[in-house]
Amino acid sequence: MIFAALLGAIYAVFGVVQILAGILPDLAAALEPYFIPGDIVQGFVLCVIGLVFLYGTAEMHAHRAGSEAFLYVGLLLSLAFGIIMLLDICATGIDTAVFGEDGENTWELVSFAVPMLYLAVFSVIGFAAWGRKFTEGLASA
Amino acid sequence: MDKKTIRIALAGNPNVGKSSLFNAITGAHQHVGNWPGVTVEKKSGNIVHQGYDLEIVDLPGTYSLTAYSADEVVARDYLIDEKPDVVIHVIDATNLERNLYLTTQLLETGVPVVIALNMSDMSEQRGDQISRKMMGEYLEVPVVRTVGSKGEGITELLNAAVHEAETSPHHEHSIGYGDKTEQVIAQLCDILTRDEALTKKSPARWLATRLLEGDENAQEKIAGSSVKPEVDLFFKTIDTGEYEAAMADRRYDIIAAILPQVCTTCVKKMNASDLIDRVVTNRYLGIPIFLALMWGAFELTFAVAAPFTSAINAGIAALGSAVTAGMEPGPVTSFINDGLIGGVGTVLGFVPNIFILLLILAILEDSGYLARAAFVMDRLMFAIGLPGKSFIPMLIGFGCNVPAIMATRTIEDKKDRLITILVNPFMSCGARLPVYVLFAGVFFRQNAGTVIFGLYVLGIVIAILSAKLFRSTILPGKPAPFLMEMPPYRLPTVMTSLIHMWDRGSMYLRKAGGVILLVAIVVWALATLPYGVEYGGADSYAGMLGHMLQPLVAPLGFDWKIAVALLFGFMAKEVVVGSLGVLYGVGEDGLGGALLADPSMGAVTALALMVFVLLYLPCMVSMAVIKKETGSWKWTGFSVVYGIVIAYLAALAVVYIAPFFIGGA
Repeated sequence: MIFAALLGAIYAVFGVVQILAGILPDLAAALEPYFIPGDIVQGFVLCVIGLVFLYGTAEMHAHRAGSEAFLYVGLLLSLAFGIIMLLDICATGIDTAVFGEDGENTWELVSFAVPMLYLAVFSVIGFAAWGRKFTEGLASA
Repeated sequence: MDKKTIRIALAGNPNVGKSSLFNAITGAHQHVGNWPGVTVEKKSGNIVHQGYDLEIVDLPGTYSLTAYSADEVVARDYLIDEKPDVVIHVIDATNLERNLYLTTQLLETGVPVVIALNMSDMSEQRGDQISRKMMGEYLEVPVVRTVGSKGEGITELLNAAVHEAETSPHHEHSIGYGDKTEQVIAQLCDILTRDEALTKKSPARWLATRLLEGDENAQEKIAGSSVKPEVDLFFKTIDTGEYEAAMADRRYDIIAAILPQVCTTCVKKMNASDLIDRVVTNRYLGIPIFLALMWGAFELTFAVAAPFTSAINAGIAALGSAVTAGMEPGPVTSFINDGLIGGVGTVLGFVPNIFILLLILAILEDSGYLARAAFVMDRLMFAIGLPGKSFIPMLIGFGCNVPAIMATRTIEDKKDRLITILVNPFMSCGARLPVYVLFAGVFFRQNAGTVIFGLYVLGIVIAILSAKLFRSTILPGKPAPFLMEMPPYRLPTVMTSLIHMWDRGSMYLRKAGGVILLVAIVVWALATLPYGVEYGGADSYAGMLGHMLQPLVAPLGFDWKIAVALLFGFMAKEVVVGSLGVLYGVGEDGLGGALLADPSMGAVTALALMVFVLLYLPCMVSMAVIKKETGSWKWTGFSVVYGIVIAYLAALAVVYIAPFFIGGA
């Protein structure tokens, strides 16, 4: 429950900050050194993940059966979006390395240091602790 | 003044406390007799509640509406033929799973249902934790706690029944039986609806499902119908036993998905599927999670496709050089390089984007998530006047509008179907993706994924608003029932998802080899002729045509080249890119650069163009399918004109509003 609450709060705060930075250019510039780029949609996604964790925290606090589902799904969403960002880095890296840089489209590792990616590290830890038990229950289509 | 009468039927399994509930409701105001023609006892009573005269009929207990015994036939016939205003489904709270089977059938009758969770005291005593709120949300019917023997919950139950009777339009539900069975149901509905008198008495879908389940009484209903010989012939071509079992399985799938959500103590242990459902079908989190996942799908599509696109583009450029190497510059070389390879090659460069998006959609579908997405979107769909069933064709529309429009065949109601067909072209198909990828990639770079996501959302919003507009003006009526489908979650296999991706994506490749090739040749000819003019210049036929159209599109910031590209985009939306490639007279790699170098192009114009391409016309093939499916040139023409007007207005709005956010054009 504490893990879900912490992760939920972190995701929600980063989400709100990213949305605000997406609206306010001055804030975006101020946050650039801290690897929090302004992006309304990415901020929205972070808020959604945060809300899943926080909703789960409230459910767990109320001892509702199945409330651990919010932790599992929150972890899955966090990992899924982290993987999307990772694939983004790899694909751009391959594209740049093999076919060359195209104008402004350069490959800089730092430009991919976005909350959606680095926050997923916490979920890797959480998934290692609780996730396997959860995914084992799914059969193949 | 006479009181309004509301007819209420009490239905339920045998021994669920129905009679005690009936007694508690009616007290001494009961009449006992026999149902006409059978020796089955009929109990009814009248009471006054909230100023309404309530006529309560206690139906014989039945486990299913596929009637076998005289009791079951009486109950089923009353519900279907007499059509009460409300059915109070009395459920034994200590045995939810068995009772919910009848619920799934009652929901299909189209009569408003209120659930009386009876014997709740006993279930609470043994420690069951049933969430009436969750149950009501899943089934979208009011659920009231009752204890018939003690008269508890009667007032709330009657309040809910009166409220349901007075609610209009009523949101109906049906069970989704899977593609194969739904196809058979649709074919059967087609036959049955030819006898209007028959389907006026018994709804076509209900009759079709009952016939498929081998219901003898349903067969009696069609005995005197003019469509009977055709129905008999149809049944000779299918194995009814297979469908009967499949339909029962689907009902149990729904029950298995709902039960752990509404009663955590009714299942021994929640499995992974139940746990995921708890979150993704959550009333508050369901839609945001769906939107987030769709954004992830588009982001992934844009990012991962990049190296594949570069490889294809490099291959096409090499092919162009190899084929024309040693050839003298002239019409033939120009035809091969600029027309064939340039035109078709440009479009082929977007194959990775389209196939990756289709692969992601296939994975989401195969995992069982899309069925949940339909479920969480249903309330919203109903609120805007679209039937829940429309959601799947609209989702398919993200791949291609042609199969999506064809998929509306599963929608029985003509108005519902027409609305879904008319708004479907606003769902951004894969063919529009190349235009977005090109312009968003060139003018919005790091925010390209967000811009593309925004365009998809805009398409959905325009579709929703248009549906609402059509429903409240030219096509008034009530949306058809929502099809509930809850297959268990599964980890999709690579092969299954790849096959699904190929089935849908190969259409794009066929178009690239057919229509697009043809259009590329026409565009090249218009850009080259009369012979001797500058390629794609103002003196070429394309230039002349573009200049003729330019005054129309000038307020949107479009020049003559874009006017020509949009004209050819009617053949297929992806042709817009191919045409621009030819008209700019640059190779595949150079189109982005050429656009950036064009002083008439900028971020605002690019955004207006993307919005216009999203909305302006169904493509030629879609238009042909709209004509085929609606059987009307009037509606086909309406679809075209409406799309152009909306696109023009939306693009104009972008031209005036976007500079405040993204700088000047």
